[in-house]
Amino acid sequence: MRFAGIDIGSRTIELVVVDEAGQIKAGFQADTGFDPITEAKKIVDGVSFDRIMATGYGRNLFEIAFEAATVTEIKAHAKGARVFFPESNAVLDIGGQDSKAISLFENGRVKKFEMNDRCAAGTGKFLEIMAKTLGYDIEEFGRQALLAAGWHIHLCRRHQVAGAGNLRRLD
Amino acid sequence: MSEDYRSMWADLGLDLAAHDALLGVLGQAYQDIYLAQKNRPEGMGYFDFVMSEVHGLRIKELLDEKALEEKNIPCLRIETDYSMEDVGQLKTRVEAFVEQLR
Repeated sequence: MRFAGIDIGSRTIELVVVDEAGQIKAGFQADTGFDPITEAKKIVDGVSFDRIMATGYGRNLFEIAFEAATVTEIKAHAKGARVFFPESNAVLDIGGQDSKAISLFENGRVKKFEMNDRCAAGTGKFLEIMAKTLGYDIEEFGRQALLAAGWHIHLCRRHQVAGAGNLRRLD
Repeated sequence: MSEDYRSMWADLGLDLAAHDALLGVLGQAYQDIYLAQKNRPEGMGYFDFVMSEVHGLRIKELLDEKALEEKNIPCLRIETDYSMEDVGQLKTRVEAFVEQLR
């Protein structure tokens, strides 16, 4: 038996196929673009599986087109985190357009979750822009932050755009 | 609604028509999905409550009680501007809340 999971996000679509033992047999990624269901159909085309489940903001479009089951990204993250990191008790998802923080019970179920989808400063896109402004690759940015001297500058409490402007003036 | 809050909210500048439109969308989903479930878990009782009262005063009470650990009831707190633009985000939050209860 082969089971597939598809995550239709705001920027990318991921498709993974696993066997009954949970071993990953295949993985694919594509840009979501402006027509998520067409891209989803393309990515699924030719891939063999017995059942598929969808998550991400485009999951309901997929549910209708493929008669698939859906699950929210929050539960999907919780399940996935425990598979790869059995000791974990929290997940932080920095998405392109939102961020999510999820805490887990001992048994792996979702304990609490918070989403920031209201402010651009809480997005992966913001971090990309800040990294570039400071001259870092995004991969390097997090590591550098952890190595920082331990002081922080108050950029802007409210607005990502104003914050970015303030950052440039500080240089 | 157990009390008529309408004049209070209108005085505060709330767009009642937009609010009712949003409730229409969520209310229908609520009926189709949640009310139809057999053996609804306990937390859903308070979802009923929230859907019928649906305002900050009562939600704050629930949160205060939860903070004091007087009651152990799963809670979902929603902020919305009563426009239709955030329906997608609201759906995700509500679905994730239901998944927590199952």
